[in-house]
Amino acid sequence: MTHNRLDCLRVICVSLMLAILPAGCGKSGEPSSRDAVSLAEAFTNNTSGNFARAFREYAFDFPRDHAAHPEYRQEWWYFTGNVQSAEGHRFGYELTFFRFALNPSRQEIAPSNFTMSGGSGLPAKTSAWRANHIYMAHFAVTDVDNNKFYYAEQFNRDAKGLAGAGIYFKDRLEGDSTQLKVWLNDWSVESIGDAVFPIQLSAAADGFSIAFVLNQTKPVVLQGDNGLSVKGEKAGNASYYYSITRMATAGSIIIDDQKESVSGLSWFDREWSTSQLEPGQEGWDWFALQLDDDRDIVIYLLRREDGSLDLNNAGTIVEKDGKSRKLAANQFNIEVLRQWRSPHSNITYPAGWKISIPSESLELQVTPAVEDQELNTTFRYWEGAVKVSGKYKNNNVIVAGKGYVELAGYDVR
Amino acid sequence: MTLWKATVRHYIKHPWQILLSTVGITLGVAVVVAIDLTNSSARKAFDLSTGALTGKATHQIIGASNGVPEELYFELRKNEGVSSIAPVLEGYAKFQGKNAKPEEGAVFQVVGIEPFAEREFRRHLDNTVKRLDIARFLGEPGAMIMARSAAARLGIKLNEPVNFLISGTETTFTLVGLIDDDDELDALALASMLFVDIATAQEVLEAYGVLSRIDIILPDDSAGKRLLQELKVSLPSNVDIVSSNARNYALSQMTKAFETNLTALSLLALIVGMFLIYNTMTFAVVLRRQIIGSLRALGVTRGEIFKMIFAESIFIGIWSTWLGIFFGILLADGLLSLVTRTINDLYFVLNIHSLDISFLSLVKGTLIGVVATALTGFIPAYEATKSTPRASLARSALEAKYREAFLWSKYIGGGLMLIGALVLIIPHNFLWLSFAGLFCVIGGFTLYVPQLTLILVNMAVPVHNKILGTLGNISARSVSSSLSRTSVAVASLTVAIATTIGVAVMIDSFRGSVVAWLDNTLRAELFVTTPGVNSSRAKGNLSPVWVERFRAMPEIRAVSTVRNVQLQAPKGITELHVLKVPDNMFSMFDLKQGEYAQASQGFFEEDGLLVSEPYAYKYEIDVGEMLVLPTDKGLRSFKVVGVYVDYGSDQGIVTINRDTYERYWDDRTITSLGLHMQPSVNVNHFFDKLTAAVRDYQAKPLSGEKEQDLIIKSNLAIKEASIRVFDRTFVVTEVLRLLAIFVAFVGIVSALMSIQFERRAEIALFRVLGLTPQEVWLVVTGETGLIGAIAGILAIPLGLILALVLIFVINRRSFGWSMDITLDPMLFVQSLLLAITAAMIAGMIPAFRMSKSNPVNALREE
Repeated sequence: MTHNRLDCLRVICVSLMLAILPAGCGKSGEPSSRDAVSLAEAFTNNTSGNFARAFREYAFDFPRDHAAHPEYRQEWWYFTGNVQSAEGHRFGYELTFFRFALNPSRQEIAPSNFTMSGGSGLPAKTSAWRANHIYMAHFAVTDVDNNKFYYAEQFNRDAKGLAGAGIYFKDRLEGDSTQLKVWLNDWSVESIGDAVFPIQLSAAADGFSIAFVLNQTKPVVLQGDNGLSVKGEKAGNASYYYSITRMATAGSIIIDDQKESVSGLSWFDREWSTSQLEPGQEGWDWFALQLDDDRDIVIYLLRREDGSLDLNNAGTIVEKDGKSRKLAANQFNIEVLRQWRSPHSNITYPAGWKISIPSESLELQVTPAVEDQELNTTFRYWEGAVKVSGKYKNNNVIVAGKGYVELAGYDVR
Repeated sequence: MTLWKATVRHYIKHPWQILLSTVGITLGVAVVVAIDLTNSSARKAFDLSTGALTGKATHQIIGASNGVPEELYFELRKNEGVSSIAPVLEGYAKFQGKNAKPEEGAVFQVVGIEPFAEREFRRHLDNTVKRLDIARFLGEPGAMIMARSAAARLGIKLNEPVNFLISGTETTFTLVGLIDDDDELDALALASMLFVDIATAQEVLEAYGVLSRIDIILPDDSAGKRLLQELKVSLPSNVDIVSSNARNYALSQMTKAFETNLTALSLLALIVGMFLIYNTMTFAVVLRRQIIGSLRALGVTRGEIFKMIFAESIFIGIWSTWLGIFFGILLADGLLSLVTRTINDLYFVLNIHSLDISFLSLVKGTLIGVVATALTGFIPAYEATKSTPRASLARSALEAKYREAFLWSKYIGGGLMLIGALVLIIPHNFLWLSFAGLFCVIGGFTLYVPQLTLILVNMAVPVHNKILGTLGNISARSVSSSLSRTSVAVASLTVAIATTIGVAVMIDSFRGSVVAWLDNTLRAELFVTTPGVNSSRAKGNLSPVWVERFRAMPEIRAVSTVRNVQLQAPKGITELHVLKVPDNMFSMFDLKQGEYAQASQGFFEEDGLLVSEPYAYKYEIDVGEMLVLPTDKGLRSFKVVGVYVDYGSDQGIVTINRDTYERYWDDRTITSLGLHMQPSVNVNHFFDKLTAAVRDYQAKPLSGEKEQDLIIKSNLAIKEASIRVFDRTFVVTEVLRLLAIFVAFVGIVSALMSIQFERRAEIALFRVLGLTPQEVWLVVTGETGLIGAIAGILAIPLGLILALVLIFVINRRSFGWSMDITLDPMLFVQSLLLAITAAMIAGMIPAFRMSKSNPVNALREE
């Protein structure tokens, strides 16, 4: 998971450089006019500069660590969830905020690179628009029953209140206060009261919008080694990563002026890092599954170019009480059952899996709720709501659930 | 068929004739086409670059005085109806090439954009910017992108730091991306722009917290209209929302009068060219009198003769028009840089590097050329048919007829001049009509030329006689004996020389008035500004600290302040000069309208405005009327208390007292300072002291911030700089004037050659009678010299009329300026000498040929 998501960030960061601001907003079905971003390019021409790096385990401190870590190159706040109306109308949603640092920090920049000559080095004053971070956000809604998918993308800079992420106390940035606010333009995730939760998600794009309140129902789960997600041989090639795998969700979805009151479950992933992946990895599949028996499962699968198994593949099982167990690469098996070819990009994605976790006596079938949940955004990927059904304890118990799957890096094929 | 053969034969025998006819029309058409191409290139470049700057914005929110506060942008973003909105901050930067001298650097428009808000606005950026490193564009101060062709032209490479001069400060930009402009139109549109992130723009332009404007796209439906109304009502009073089209139109109108004047001058060249073709076509007829007479005797009808001659002239017209277009394009290439420089000096930043050859210009040129030849070819063709078969053989018959024609030409000439005068005297706003009037006067005058020539020849005969003896008599009389030829030569030379005189007197008077105005206006001994991009472009703002520092110096008696603001007033874009001067210096305004004491009181005490002459003329404002200006407290009307002389801007200026200004505007910035010395202070010594003091302050900056760069100039230096710009503005005029003279010169050569050709037999007779070749020289150059002298003398009154019209009608109607006439007697002497010299040189070739020719051959032909 660690690597995969970080790759994703990295790829997006690079793709930002490759193709400026494509049409980021559209309904599923609109063809993309943009050049695809190659993952391979993500692995090249990259320097870590003077950014902080994840070298060792870290003492997480909440709610402080919900806020941005600007000393790291990239970071994200990732909300997904499955909800449904009282009438049983089912929806999936994704609201993700990415932060990319433009420069390590100002004082560390060699002045010769961009001197305003005339002797004084950098300009005497700095514009209030001068930002050190770009935020990117993706917002998608899946209308499961109508087989429709909507998505949008936005960018802005971390300046003049256009975008940002922080812990605030009565609109003031304070280290020990408790309100979280992550926003980009009018899309936001913002604590309602004095604590981080309940938290309000609101986003509106052309023809679709959401307004949800999320309540935390499970504690924070630190992924990897106590939140340090080591991804490569080299020290510092790692990220800090935690999740809140289950949050009760209620609110409304509006699609084409049709408003529906909905409720369901959400998932929150947080990750920040500086270093990038090693070569040889082509993409990843990520599964975040919430079972009806209150267990949550996350599994990530790295696809290597040579087709071999990546030993960094891993997973986590979170019990009803919030206790979690790591799953090593050899503790699960994933079999692709069928495939789907995107009419927009002509990319073929897997579209149905059998996931076996013998140690947990679990055998799950994962099926996309809607086939077409491809985001033709700056970085093209498939991210969508899925249905889960399966067997537990040697067929004794039938389990079901919902979840989200991310499929990235399929462009290269 | 026989007729055509005869024609072709004739021209094969006399190839130089084709050459001469061709040269006349070619030059005339070339000048007209060149000016038209230059104008249309400039206009197109302007349209394209404003188009690129405006993008798809339907409306722009602009500030009253100090731009738009950026907070307004964030406010407007909250308005749900406003979906497409983008901030823009613009400024100017002068390219500092590796070898380029500072004053030669191209000026660029620095356009600060917000790339994330931008994508709906500027097609160029949306579609053509590929592979932009947005992280660098946003993250690196000084990162910029520009058009690929512009970068290539300046030799700027990716990732290479380049220096630009902004407000006198060297600023380093780094090219981090290229805008594809393979399309020529895109290249033209983006030629003078560099795009930076809005943060970089604020930093390099030192415009923190400020935007030039907010671009906005409103839908073209009832919702959009509603929103516009809502915005108009709800926007703060110090900003205004205007339609982009209206604003661009207002900008494009700035150069209109300038363009019209250039076009009119080019037409003058064409008129001289028309004389030329008339001349050569007539000559072509003359040469073939024998053939035409014979043809007529053989039964060829008048109609056929007319058709032949007319078709001939049309054919030559078309052929020379094409050539003219070709040379016009070459010429336009040269003129373009001159015109661009003037536009940059006076109006707005525009880099034009390639000529835009518009089809329309070429069609126009063709039409003008062919019509001009048709008009001028008509007369000789008619002349050829009017003679009886027998008489057309006799030269004398033609002359006799020509003299008869004087009678009615007098009336036509008189009528033309009268119409022209009426058009010029009756006030109206059609600049073209004024030029038509001017051409009527010139045309009318030329119809008097034959008569005046006769009179002057008669006066010259005794003089010639005295100097050259009998030979002088002969050479003088020969001018009047072949009047039908000589008068055309005289007329064309007269018009050309008169143009020279008229334009020169106008420029002299203009210059004199400008100098007098500068003397009167520049009251302070020293002026302080921050470095600007060029003489007329927005300067930086002066820190108010300096005002106090200067006031504290004992040598300084008073400090006056100036602030220049551009307002989008209901009447149009208005340049507002905010002035604080000591009360006793009100006489710096040379009032054209308004009573001095009242104006002074009104200006200082009653919120009165002074408007410059061009402003008053352009917007038809009189003293006592109210002028509405957008203040920071909304629209307010101010009383105009005086109209004053100002040559600083042809767009006009409104001057307001600073106390008044500060009551209605929240802007406290200062653009420049005037330092008035105590009478006992030696300005030169003080200048050094002041410079040293400023350097001291800059060495020990207050509050850690970098002190401003100051430019201190004496009033003498400012005057010189102003005059320099003035002179530069008239370089194009000067070029056109020289071209007109050149056309006239070629006309003279051809006219004189035709005359001397006709007189071959006569000269041969002289030779047989014992005249030496030297004496033939004397006769011929004596004659041509006389033609030149007559033209030179006639050009003086016509030149004066031209000058008066240019000064009192054309300039006034173009720009609203009035000026005092300055006459330099030397100018007339020079023009006379020029005319005589031109004519003498033109006479050299025929004189040389005749003195060398064998008289026997010539006589045998007869």
